Amino acid sequence: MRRYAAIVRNMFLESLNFRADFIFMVLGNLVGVFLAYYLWRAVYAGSGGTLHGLGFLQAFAYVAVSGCIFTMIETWAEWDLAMSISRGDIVLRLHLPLDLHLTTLVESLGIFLTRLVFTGVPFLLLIIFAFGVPVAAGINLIFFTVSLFFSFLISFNIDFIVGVTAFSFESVLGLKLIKDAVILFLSGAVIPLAFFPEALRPVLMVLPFQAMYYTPVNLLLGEKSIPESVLMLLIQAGWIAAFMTAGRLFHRKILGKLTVSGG
Amino acid sequence: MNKKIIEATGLTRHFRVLERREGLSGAFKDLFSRNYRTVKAVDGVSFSVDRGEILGLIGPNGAGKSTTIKLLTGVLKPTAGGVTVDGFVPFSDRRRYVANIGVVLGQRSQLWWNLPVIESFKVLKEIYRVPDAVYERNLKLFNDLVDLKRHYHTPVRKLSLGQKSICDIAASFLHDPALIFLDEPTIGLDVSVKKNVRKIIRTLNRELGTTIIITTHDTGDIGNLCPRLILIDKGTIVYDGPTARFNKAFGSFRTLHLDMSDMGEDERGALEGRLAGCFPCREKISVREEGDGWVTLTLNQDEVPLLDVLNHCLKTCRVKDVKIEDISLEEVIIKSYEGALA
Repeated sequence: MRRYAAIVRNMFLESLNFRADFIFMVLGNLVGVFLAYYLWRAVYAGSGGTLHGLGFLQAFAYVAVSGCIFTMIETWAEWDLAMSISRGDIVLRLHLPLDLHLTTLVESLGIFLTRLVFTGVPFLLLIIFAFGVPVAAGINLIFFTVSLFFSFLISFNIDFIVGVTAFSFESVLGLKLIKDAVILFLSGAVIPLAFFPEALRPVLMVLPFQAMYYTPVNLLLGEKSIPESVLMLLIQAGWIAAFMTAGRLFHRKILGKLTVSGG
Repeated sequence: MNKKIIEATGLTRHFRVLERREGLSGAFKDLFSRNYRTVKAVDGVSFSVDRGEILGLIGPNGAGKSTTIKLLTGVLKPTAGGVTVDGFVPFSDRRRYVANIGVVLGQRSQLWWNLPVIESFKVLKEIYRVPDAVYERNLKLFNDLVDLKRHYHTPVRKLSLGQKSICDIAASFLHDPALIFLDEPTIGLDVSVKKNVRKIIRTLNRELGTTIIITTHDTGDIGNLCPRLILIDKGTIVYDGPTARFNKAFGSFRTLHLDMSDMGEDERGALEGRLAGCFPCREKISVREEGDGWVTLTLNQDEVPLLDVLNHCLKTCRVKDVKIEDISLEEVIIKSYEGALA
């Protein structure tokens, strides 16, 4: 375990190197939060308080917190993986006496943790204190933290699978952008799930994507009872198991098929 | 302990390469039916390496050196044949196996790009579970050799190529590997850094008994380091034996490049016959037109003095410029096929 922890540590240090990167990411998030705020205020302007059972602050909270989660769990793992396969740098990871899937996971984890500390938490505080989104200081915070980590694990394994398949399409960026757009939309991160048509909602609820955004946001806002919250976490855990297994299968497949030529 | 550390028999790796058709219509056809060509990158290679040996693997670009290394380091799965290294089957036992080896790729760095060098060493220490004493001893060995300390706190991306290469070699042996693979370790390095790299390799081999496999197309590496070499071309072994015998066969060969662009083509063409007449020897002096007015002569100094040939050319031809080099690897391979090493 210490070996993987050492990688997480270095990845954390490495992410800290890019000061300009950080400043722009923080600025980008700031712009995103303000955009969401004014957009949803405009949506609610003529509504008389609630739309689809959600008040303005709730709708804003869904979108803003989801955006925050996105910047934390989106670590570009698929991009790094696909690039290292197509450029052949993957051999460097294979020369280490470590599991490739786990190594990729902990590298991603290092980035996730950096984002959590330096953008995630400050922005959550901003959303809560500056915009007045009501978040209780109770067990919901623990549920949220666990759930956020679970979201990261689901997201990582989807990325891993996309990364392994993407390099053979020679359009990693395109596939990545499509994947992000689809996940953000279907998970209710862009438009809260309450706004989706009645007929569509049950479908979205059985897809894995809501577990990545809808679940942590819900748990943070503390709108569910404790048994309900635990159930939601268990469903997330189920999706982790499913995608982790799929990730392992892809991992095996890629090792057997690897062709790195030259240099 | 088994004296042989590597035993490869009939080691083979084929790649399927997509052949794209030309033009727009070809691209459309490619959407529906694809042509694959099989490239025999490594084709039935058998050899063995003793513990503590320094082996040179040479061959022109694309000969299969790197693929052979990747088969030996467990990155690639052999298409056929097998290899055991230090009791492991590299591909199937990869994780346990690579804990015993070190790999340096001249073209890629295993160090953390944005972090100070020492951070990479520390993470490798954890990954390989290197005991403190071994770690300290190995760093000290390196500090005595090349004063590595002054780079500890420099981010890798700010190191020069030479400094990076040396740090990469240091990183690959922190865990006392039984075997180190160096794939083109001196590529792009200047003479003084090359000398340092060779010094390091020799010391590692002598003091720690590390078995070392080097691929290179710098014949200087071979002559200076490896008592034995394997010459690979088109995925097969052309020569496997002592470097001394190799040097004896080729060491006295020189290539002489002459700029004869002031002369007519037929005048240049007559040169070969004239040289054969003036300098009778067992193996006649080969003359090749380079197409840009330069002519390349390859000759064996044991049979005919280089200076005599040069004098003759300067007297009888209008020569604008002269370059003298050792025999190129390509010529060596052609001559090997002709039986020069038999």
